Amino acid sequence: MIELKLVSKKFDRFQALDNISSCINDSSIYGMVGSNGAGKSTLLRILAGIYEADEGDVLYDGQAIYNNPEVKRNVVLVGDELFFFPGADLKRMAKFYASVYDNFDKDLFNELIIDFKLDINKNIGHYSKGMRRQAAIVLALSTGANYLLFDETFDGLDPVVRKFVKKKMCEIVADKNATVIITSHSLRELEDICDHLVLLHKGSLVVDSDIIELKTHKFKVQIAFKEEFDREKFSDFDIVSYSQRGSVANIIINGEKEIVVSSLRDLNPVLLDVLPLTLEEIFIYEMEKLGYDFLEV
Amino acid sequence: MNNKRIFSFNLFKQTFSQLKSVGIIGMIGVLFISFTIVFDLIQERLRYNLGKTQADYEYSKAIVTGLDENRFLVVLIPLLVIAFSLIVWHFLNQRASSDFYHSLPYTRLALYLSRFMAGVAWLLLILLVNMLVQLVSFILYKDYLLVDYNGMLLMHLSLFIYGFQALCAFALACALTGNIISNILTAGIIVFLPRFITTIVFSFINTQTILRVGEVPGLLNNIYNFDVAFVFKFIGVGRFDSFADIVSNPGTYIYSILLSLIYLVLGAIAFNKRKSEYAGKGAISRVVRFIIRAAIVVALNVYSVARFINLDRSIESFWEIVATFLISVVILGIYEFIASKRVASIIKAIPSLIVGIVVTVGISLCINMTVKNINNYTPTTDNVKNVSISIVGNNYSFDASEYTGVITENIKITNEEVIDILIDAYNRTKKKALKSDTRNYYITDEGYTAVEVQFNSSIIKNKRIVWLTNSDVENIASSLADYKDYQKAFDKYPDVDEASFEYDSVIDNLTSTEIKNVYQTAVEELKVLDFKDVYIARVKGSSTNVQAYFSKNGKKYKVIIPITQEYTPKALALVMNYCNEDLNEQEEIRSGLADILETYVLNSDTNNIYDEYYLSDTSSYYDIYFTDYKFPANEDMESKALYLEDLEENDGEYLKAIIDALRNGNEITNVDSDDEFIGLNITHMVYDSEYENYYCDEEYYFYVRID
Repeated sequence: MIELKLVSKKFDRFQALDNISSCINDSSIYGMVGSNGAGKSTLLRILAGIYEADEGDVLYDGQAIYNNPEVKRNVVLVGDELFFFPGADLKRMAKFYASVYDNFDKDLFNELIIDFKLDINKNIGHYSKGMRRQAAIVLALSTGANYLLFDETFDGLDPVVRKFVKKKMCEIVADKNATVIITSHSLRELEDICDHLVLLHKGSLVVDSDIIELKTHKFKVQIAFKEEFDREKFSDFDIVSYSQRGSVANIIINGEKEIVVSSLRDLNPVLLDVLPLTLEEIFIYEMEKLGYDFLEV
Repeated sequence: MNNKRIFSFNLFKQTFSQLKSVGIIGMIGVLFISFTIVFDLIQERLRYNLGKTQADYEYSKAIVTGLDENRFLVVLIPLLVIAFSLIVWHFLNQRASSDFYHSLPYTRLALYLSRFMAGVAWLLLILLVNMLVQLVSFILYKDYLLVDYNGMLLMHLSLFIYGFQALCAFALACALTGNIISNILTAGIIVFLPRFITTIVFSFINTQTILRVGEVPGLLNNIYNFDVAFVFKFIGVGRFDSFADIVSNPGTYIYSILLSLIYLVLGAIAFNKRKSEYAGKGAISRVVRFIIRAAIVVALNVYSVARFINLDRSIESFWEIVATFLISVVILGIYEFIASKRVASIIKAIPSLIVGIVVTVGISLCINMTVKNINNYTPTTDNVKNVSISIVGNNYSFDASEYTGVITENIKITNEEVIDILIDAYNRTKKKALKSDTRNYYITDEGYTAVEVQFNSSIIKNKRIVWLTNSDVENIASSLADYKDYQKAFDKYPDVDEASFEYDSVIDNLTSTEIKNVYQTAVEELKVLDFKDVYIARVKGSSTNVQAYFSKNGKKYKVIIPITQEYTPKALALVMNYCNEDLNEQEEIRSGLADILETYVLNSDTNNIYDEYYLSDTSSYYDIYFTDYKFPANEDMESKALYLEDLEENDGEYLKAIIDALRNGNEITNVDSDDEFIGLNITHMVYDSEYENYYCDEEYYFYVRID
């Protein structure tokens, strides 16, 4: 388990991260979304032990990662800007990774390069942008590290490969109990694979929630009554968003779905529809609740 | 060893592999140059041995000091170090690579040391291979070479430390900065700036102080720092006797290694503290950046400002200051722009510019005070505790250290009489120096001998040039009777088979065997003399000397043996008769030389005070001068310069005697050093219109007995 405790980071006068606290469970996929400059990459670098937090702690099972090889050997990062040794081919890079990471899985590596159709003997510098990213992903997945950190990893990948990478991430979490931490500026990119999502904005954690909880505890209802009504009628409910047009109200409600629906039925509505919410809608409503404008974020 | 906390062999291996291209190219380059030098050396010896060419002065075998043959590495190693360092530390300058390496499961220290050691390993490998190749070549041709294996080992060791020190400095510079221009500038500042300043300081002190031996005291002397000493020596900044002085100084090894380790440790601390996010930035903190900027200003302005304050307050010097100041502003501007990529940031450099100028002015004022302090020094019996004397005097030269002087300069003399003589002699010399406003006081007036004397107080040592009169030399020699160590130094002569010889003037006429005989005879004669006589003979020197060169621990020394009638008469007789041998058998040449003297000297109305006699046109001329002479009738002649016009005194009596001797040959046979004699050199110089220069067509040395 990774614990982030009041982590702050400044670059000169720019506050990149401001008192970030969160908890990342093992065997999960943890997604970070946010616009450019929100602090995602900085937080990921702190998680990878590249940057040292100015304040606060980053603890892997209680141990700090910065300058600690014991922890770092279980963490691998695929950064947004990739690095390979000049002139190196995938074989040489794999050899290096195998020498660095004690649990490097050569079989998995061989399997992955076949799956990704990568030429192991070709200079990586001659790969296309997408292939370079695939090569970095293959290497990271093969390290046998327990914590895999991916920064904007789906950039430059075509939809088929993107789907395949997601599948591999899920497999590694399921099969090897690994933990994947992934950043993206696109919420849609992450919503189908993440167990946990956080939203960063201007260095602060705006939303930090479990996806299942988000999806099961937030839902939209369309409700109508014979008599006139207003928001007051639902004062017993945890309302995230409320809008009414004529006799039909659209409400985003927070709570245990079955209990909430049962309670709403008790109000004898003439119309009661429970509609699914996309993750994006949930985020929009959550942020509105916190006073943010999602479009700005 | 794969301790990821301190050192990772895997990372080392990977970095070593990264350096492979540069390393292999470097090794091929080094071996190619090395092989060329060794090949030339051996070829020259082989040709000489076959009688095809004559060496300038070295006889029989070439001395391989190990230094001269590897001097090219002084240039190549910095190039390799720069290339290695930029490759090793380049990852710190780019975010992607910096993030990659910092994300690996190593401590900062392991990352730093493992990568650093890869550069060191390549340097070591290149030098080892070079040394082995040279060693094998020298062993194969050992019959033609006198190889100083210790010197060779020392040179390679010193070159390794030279490179190691630079690698350490680069490691520190790269840990402190975040882009290539800052890496290189900072490395240069770390290695050279302090020494550059001290060199400038002492160059001003040396040019403005009187009689002070131009040495830099203690650790301030650049000789202690391999990087600075080698580079400054190579490009001609500052004053060094030779590469050998640097390589053979044990203090240089200790100091340079310690300094390298300090660089390395500071680099490790900076690397450990360094944040990955500084990749691509000018420096890792504002303070470091401020210091770098101020250092650049000092480096660029210190010479012009110090010159203006201490030497030349002309308007030209003032404009020089303005020029260097403007250059500083431009360079700081470029540095700031590259570091911050913002034009607006250039203004931030102003405070460091001001501080740099203030420091520069402070340094210049310190020079001024130091010069005044040195020039005011007056040794007295109260402030001089002991003295040491080195033989430099009339045999002063830069090409090799005078061996006896090297030993004696470390022997402290407390004899009051000697101290008094030297104090008086110094004060007398100082008056002469002030009167003539001359700084180079090694070349003495007639009747004086210049020596270097170190006046030691309890703490301070003042080394000065002192002119001694003949009686001073004799009195000092008498007073040194109790100094056995001092006397022993005058008893050490290199073995004839371990030395290479130079002989004043008549080198081309004496064969290797002949010159060895002369040397051995002179040494035997000196060895049976009293110390006083040896001292006088050696310190006063002679107009004819045999210089025995030899190499010891990489350092080339010479011992100068004076050939005089008074102290080494047998050796002098040998020289004279070796020179005359050929001439005796060639009547035609003797007659020709007699004609020359008759035509161009005896019957000439012009040029009689000059020693060059032009023929009817300027296509050739005869160069005639004395090599040695002895006139018992006038004892003082030996210490005076002799001109051709002296031959024409007494109606040309001496000249006529020489001409007669050449015509009949009797007076040039079996010349003895007890005889009165005159040595002459006649050279026929011919003009070469193609090269627009005169060359030596014929040259003759001979000694004529004057009865």
